[in-house]
Amino acid sequence: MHKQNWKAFLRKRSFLITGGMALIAILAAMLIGGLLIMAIGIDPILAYRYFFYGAFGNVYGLGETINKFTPLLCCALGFAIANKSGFFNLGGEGQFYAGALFAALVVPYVDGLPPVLAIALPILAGILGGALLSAVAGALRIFFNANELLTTLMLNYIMTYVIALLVSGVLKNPESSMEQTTPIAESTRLPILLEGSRLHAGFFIALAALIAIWFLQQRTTLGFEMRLSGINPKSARYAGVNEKRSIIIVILVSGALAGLGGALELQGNQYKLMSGFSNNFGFDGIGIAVMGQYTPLGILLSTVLFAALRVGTSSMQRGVNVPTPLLYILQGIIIIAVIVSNYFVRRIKDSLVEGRNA
Amino acid sequence: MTALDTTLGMAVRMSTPYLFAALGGMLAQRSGVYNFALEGMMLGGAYFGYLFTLLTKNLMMGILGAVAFGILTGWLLAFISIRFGVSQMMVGLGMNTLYMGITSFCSRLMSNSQDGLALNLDHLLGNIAEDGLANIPILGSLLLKQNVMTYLVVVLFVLYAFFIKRTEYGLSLRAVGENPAAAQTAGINVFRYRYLAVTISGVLASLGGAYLTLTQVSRFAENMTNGRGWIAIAAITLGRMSPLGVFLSCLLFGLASAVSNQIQVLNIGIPYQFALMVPYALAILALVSIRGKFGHGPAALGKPYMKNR
Repeated sequence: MHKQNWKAFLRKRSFLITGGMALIAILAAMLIGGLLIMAIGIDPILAYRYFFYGAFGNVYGLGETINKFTPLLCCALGFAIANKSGFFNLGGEGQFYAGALFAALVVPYVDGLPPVLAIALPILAGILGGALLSAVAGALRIFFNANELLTTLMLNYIMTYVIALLVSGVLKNPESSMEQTTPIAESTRLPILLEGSRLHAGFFIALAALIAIWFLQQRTTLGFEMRLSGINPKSARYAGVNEKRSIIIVILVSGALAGLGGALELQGNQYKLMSGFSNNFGFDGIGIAVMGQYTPLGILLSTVLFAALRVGTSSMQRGVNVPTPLLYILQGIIIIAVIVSNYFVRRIKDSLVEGRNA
Repeated sequence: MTALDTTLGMAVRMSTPYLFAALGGMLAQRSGVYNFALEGMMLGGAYFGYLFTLLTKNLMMGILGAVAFGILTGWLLAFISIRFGVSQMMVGLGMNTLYMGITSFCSRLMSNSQDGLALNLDHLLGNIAEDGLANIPILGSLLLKQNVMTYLVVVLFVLYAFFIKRTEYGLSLRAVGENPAAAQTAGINVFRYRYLAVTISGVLASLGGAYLTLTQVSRFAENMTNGRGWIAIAAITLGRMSPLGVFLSCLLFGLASAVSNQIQVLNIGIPYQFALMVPYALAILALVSIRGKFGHGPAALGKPYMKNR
């Protein structure tokens, strides 16, 4: 009797199983990371103290973590919403760049406008930029049936070189020897929220995007149509859904979100565009969406983790000289472990259902 | 030596890594499993081939190191995709991230503590011939100023074509990719075929990566594969999974890479960033040109096959 209650409890709250598995994946990655740090002759306890102190232990670090959270969340949402509708948008990286580029292009023209406009117009331009780039991949898929998984990836590389070309050429800051753009005007920067940190207001915009996407997907007809087109295009058409229209909207929204991330990163954090501006944000978004099981809460929590991993590993680098690519080792292990754990989650859920029948 | 000579010879050299990776990817896809980790496997092969050569001062050990890494990573991909039946795309992406991390992590450790990181030129794979016949215009550059790995991959392509079209085992492999349940009923061990195919695909991708560090640049640079694994997947798609088609597609991408390189070297007024875009732009054009006709891919490609179901 007691055991049955326990099973019923878990059956209703299957997120506990998923969450527990994710926790195991994180711990496994941290453990392997610790062993690796030990293997290169650095005290792992000390290294992890730097990790947590750097990511959460002080106001400045907390601000940095949240500042990483912002673009990562945008990229993760962009990937997740498209993936749910059957569009594999691996182009977050390129769309992120497109967003930052469009924002940077608009910035010189809005300096001097009322403060709200000076900040909002570049952000809108960034959203447009990201949407345009994913529209390219979308058009190639719709008109030429070209596999978007590969076209979006190729567009990432092309976009990286476009940025490299521009920041060394027409957009280069003439007063700097570095290949980067002129820092954006003060009036176009997102306000700093917390004294003693660099935490900027883009955080709220990213959270608003999360809520808006959740609302769109769960509470509107359009969102339902979008998901239905992804799960079963045939039945969507049968049910009278214009599935072409909904996939086009998905493609645009997906790119727009990554573009938003790029604009927020430019206007809130880095202020200038250069090669290496993105530093893998687009790809991290994919890992976050996978880990978060494409649910709003899951994505929110995974983004916190991935943001902390970024800040924590660079703190380890500064503190005890652990090479920062440890970040990708940890992320890779976590992603693989979470994917494998999906198999076990399914098994556990199956066994819970069988328990009811027995 | 004319520019044409140089470009064509370079095209063959630059298509070699694509050929290795695409052959591996194609073999895995024939068995019904996507290898989306080609990019990371190439990166790992490039690093471990380089590392073992550096440590042992012996090229053969370097190549064996790359092969060993390929077996490990290929088996790991096979194990995760086949045993757990999870999303093959996501496993591939996870592995790419992991190998980017491992290779960059290790290479930074080395450059902190060591100076001479370039391999001794004596330890690199040399060309078959440099003088004599190799000076024949065009043919010399195309065929003789190449190293043994290029010959190896051409032979492997021929063997693969023969294997897949003319042998019993090849037929079984195709059956496993088309309809695993039926193949199982006919007494074919689906799992053994898939494990073998994916493991070998890891070795091939790893060798393709090792080619980069052991012949072309003599040192490892972070993320140096730079999308070659993905271009190999585009080449498989463009070649419609036929051995000859994929072979020619790889040569085409090799030519594009060589042209990209030559534009940079000759300095003819085109910004080098444009030149760098050429192979990726060609990949997009290729995908557009075939209009998504994947008619020759096996029916069960990407679909997990589990026991007892």
